[in-house]
Amino acid sequence: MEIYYRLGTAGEQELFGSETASFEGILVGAHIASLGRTWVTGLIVRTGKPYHVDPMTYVFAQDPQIVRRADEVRKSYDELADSYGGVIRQNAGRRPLRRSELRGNSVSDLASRVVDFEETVLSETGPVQATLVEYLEEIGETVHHVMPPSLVLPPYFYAESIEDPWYGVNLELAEATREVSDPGRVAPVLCISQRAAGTDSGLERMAQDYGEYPTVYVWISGLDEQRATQTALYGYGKLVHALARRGTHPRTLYGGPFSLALATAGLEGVSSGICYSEWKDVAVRATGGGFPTRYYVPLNRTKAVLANAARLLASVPECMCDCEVCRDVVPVSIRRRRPNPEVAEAIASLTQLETKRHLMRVRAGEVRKMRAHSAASIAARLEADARLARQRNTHVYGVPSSHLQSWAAVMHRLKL
Amino acid sequence: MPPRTEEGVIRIVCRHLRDEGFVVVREVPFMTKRIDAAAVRPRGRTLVAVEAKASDWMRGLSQALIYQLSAHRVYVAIAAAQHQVNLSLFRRHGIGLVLAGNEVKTLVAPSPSPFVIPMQAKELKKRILGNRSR
Repeated sequence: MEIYYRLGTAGEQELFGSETASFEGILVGAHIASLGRTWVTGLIVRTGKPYHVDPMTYVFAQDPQIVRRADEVRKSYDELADSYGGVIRQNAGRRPLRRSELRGNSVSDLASRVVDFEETVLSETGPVQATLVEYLEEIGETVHHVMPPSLVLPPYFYAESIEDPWYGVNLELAEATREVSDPGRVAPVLCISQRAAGTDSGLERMAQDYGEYPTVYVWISGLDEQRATQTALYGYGKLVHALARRGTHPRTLYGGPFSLALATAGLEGVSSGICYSEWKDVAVRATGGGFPTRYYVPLNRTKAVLANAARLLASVPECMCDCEVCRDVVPVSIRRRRPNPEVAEAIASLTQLETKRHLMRVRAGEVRKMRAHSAASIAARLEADARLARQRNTHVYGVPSSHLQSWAAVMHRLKL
Repeated sequence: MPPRTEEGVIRIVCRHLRDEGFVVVREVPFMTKRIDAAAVRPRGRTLVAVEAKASDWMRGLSQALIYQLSAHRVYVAIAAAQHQVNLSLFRRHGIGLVLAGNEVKTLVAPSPSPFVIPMQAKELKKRILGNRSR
């Protein structure tokens, strides 16, 4: 199981640079790569991590407000639309792209423009990037040369079901991408609704259609692992398993702790932002307002706003984490006291950077543990943790745990 | 007639606290939250925080537990119409419970919070007494 964190803002560079042991690669949204190509290239050069570029084409078939700010198209999407050209440029921020506008030459044209963008946007050969690399070498920083992305993601759009015309368009775009790129690196994105993943016939068809690609990215729109029904999670698990049985390597474009457990179903990679974006709905625009600082509670496998986490840990030291970040902030010597306002004070004073570092360390540990466990033992672990969380009344502190029981039930039901 | 809204509940409780000689401030920022009402006597040391709930007392309890990081006595105030409140849960966590109707009736008295972070308490007191003119 590989973790590819999504790059959010330039402010996260330090985190990516200092926590390289906690993840395998970087996923860069094309709009971020387009606007921030210099600093993103700098990050890749410094970390030496492989990366994939999410082409983000789906946004252009959604409500134009998603790519707009006030009266104009956001600069990042505007530049991206320039790079993609054609029907994307004509409609960006005006109206949603129509399925009928992507046929024949426009399919192959979009595929080759997207491939070209992904292959070159983060190269060292641009004038500014070349100067940056030169500068980093000059000041003695370790510089890794930027390789092309290890996978190429074809343009993709959201399909409500396999009968949705966009489903067919996505297959055409994937095929067209294979013609203009190294077929072994083409990783189409299966971007679908929860409903589409809910029927056996639909799953089989998707596994058949996408099973011929060596890697497939799965994105079930709006699948919030913590709040999703067992049926929805079961559909997701079955889809991953069906793809893996066909010999492809499934990854997820947005995923959290439940996705990690799907390593036992054949899921090979999970992407998310660092402490955010573990799920996403295609139709929801980014607000840009940021998030309050949240602390990942390992027992509950959920993030809690700092105040809730601080209060919980002051009463329930069993929930205290043992990662290096937390050991630095809360010395082991004071952890077992109860009640423990010192713990609350220490947790309440964590910075956003520290909570993110904590999450990265814990997540890396979770992945290591998953490697050594079967689906049955993961389910048993989830049940044991759900029991402990219930006994400790973590929900009373605003830190829920009922999802752990649901996840365990789904893991049993998947019969892996 | 018992209040039907949180606003109605908190008004009654604030009036009661003022009658008892407290300086009361509403909507006090605390970390990422807002305390519905916070109070202290002008020369007093004991800080009081109140979370009002017209329904869903459980959410009120969750919120109130967080206020224990900054206030010494924390209450959930509910409308008289709410039923099936688990009083033992309030007792176990040291959170007070008051019923707001024609008068304010204490169902569970709070215990002094053992979780107060001195810096947070100082900040809260400053916010209350610094707003006396309101």
